[in-house]
Amino acid sequence: MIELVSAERCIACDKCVKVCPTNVFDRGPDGVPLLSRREDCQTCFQCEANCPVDALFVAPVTHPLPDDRAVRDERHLDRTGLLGSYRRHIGWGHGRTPGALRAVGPRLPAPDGRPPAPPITS
Amino acid sequence: MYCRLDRADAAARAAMRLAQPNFFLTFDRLGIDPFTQRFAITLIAEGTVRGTGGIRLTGDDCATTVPGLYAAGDAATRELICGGFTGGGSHNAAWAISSGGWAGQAAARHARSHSGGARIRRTVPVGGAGLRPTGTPGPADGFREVVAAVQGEVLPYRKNYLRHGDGLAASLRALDDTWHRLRATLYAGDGDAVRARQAAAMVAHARWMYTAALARTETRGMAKRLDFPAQDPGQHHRIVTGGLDRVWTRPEPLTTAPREVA
Repeated sequence: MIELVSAERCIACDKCVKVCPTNVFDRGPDGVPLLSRREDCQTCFQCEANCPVDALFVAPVTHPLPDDRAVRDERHLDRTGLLGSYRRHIGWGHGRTPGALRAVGPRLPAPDGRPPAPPITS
Repeated sequence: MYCRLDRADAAARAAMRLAQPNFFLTFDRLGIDPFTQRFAITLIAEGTVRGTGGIRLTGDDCATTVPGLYAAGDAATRELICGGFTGGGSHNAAWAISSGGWAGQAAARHARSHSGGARIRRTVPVGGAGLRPTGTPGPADGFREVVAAVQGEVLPYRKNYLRHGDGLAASLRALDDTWHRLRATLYAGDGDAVRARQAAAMVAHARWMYTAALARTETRGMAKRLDFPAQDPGQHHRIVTGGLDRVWTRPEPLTTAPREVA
């Protein structure tokens, strides 16, 4: 569930507001998104993946965490490399190689007709 | 129940990380190494995301039975590409992208076909459930109660996963009650109109789902019945369902069904 919206990092681009499939955010008066319908968050990580400045953090649990948890501590998340880690892993963002290009997909059959190894997929 | 991916060698581990970053995201954030540490697993209902079925398509351009409405991705049926089972990530992703392209092109073509432009047509509001109650409107947050009522019938494993005719029929009675109540009272005003409409759609969908499940008195693909555990060769067809105040089903023959072998 979405835990952190960093007002310091946010550039008010509205991408998270638009991309959220359950309409969790509203644009706030200063452009920083408000968590108006947080209970509707489905933990899909789309807002985080689309944030160009890593201003959002989604915790990997489907319920809100207590206020004192480290998932709302921006400096802790930054220091431990967790902030922006999803975008880094999927290779989204300027100058990165999209994860789709690095993924190990199904191999084509060999010219001699031998069947390929089964793909690693879901 | 606990799990550990202890049979993956170093090469498989590296490949898995590249192929499925989404899978590892949760582990990395929880500080768990799934290759060496045990983690708890459970079942989670993903609705139609990993299922099959969906809005019936009537043409290669993803047209539906509603003129001008084109369906794509998880909303559209995937039986056409993977039959009675889910396609998994690769099929579903390919379907999302290709059906989205086809449906988008067709929708654009449809919009252009209106002489004088699609924007200046005279439109008439027709939505009923959640928008125009037939009786005295209930509280503005009535959609919450409706959503909770649907969840009570579709989320429990013993109702929706371990399916039995008796349980399906009982759930359907409860959902029918919810539907008739919301028809009369559900109204959220302008602010939450979408949420009220979504809640109504969830009830409609759940009723279609269980009505179709009751109509299939066998176990086939993802459609499983504890009271009918065997596949019945006589039911090798799709089941189409619809209707709002009265839900109906009818079998739809497969155009590509293999010929019966004597």
